[in-house]
Amino acid sequence: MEFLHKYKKFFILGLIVLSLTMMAFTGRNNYEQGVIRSSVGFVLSGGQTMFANIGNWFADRFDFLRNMNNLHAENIRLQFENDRIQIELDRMLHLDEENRMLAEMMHLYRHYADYATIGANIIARDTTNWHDTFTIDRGRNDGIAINMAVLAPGGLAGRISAVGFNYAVVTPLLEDTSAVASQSLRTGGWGVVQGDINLSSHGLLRMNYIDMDADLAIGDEIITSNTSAIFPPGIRIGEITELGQTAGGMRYAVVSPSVDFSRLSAVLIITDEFEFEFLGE
Amino acid sequence: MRILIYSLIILFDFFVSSTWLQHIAVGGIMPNTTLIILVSYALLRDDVEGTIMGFCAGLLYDIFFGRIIGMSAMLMMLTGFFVGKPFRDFFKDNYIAPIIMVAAATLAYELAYYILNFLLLGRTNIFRYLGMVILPSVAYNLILCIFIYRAIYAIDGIIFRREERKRGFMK
Repeated sequence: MEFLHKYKKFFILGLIVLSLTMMAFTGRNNYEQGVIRSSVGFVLSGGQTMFANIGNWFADRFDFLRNMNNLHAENIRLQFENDRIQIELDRMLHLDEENRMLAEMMHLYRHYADYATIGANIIARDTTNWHDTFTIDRGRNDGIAINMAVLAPGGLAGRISAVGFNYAVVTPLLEDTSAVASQSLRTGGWGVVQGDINLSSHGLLRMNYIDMDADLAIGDEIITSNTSAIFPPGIRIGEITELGQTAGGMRYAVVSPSVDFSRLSAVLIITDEFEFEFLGE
Repeated sequence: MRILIYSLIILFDFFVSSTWLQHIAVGGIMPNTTLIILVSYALLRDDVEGTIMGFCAGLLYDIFFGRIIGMSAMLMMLTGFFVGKPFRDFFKDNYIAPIIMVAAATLAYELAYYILNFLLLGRTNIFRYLGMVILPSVAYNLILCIFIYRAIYAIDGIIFRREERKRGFMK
């Protein structure tokens, strides 16, 4: 300790240089999780799973107490809903059958329905207010790889941005650096859905770089485009709630995602390498 | 002994803030408890120990969540250093110094984080970020810092007395 006090300036400078060196080496390829990162993450994610389970247990008890009064009403409502969904499902199965028949007739590939998916629980979230990234309890040993698409009830949630042995980090659509090539389901009008930290606190996304002659309207459903390099086409992102123009004359749209990010507790990951399908065609 | 206890505290804080603290976020804004612990510790001890603790805590975050390893480590380390530096002899029972230092450190840290991670990527709307993220987190940290400083003060007192006693026996 006294040694450090004596050479304080060199010590501080040394640590700064060390940090800068690490930044220089990891800034370029932030995708690769090295041995050290991976093994530290292995230990930490175990602890996080434990803490998350304890926290969820208490949150569940608390929710139960709070919602006890309207459980009966909720139950009746869900029963009705269930009946309605059952009828809907029968109709959908019928349509699906019909769709497959038609698609076979037209020699089309059915992209969306056949993806192999794997479920995962969210165990931890980023500790700063700058990022919305979260950690899930599946990793390399479950077949997860970088840039796989992450789905949640409602549609697209984000992509895998880092993978460890038994955990993976998900960058959600809300993240400031996230961008998805997307299009309107109705007209095919093209744009890029990006996270925006000012909108993401309200749970909203922003669509930038909209095509010059794209025909967009409020209420349009936005899906992933087939120009996207990492996301399979046709996955639902959300719907347009606001259209506008920046001071520079660029059009933008505010998109309300169909995934409720504030209540997310589990996600699905598409483990298929969908790009190869295109190459095989 | 001291190193072990503070390592456990930092680790515990990391687990808690990545899991439980998410439930008490107000309007999507969470307190940065790691920063409060670091400032309290650097105030009670000195700049060198603040630097070491900041470096370790920042590195922990970087390794697990960080996109670029070393960014938070450097910022946290500098925070620990500057907080520990000028306040060698203040009344450690008093809350005013920690409150001011936590506010200043949070403001400086978050601003530096914004500049390195967002401004350099072309997100130039600084007042928007200031109002939406930085100032709310400063306010939240201010409230929590009173409790956390109290706790760190108590823990540090216990460790200090133990060390004194041990030193006494040695002689």
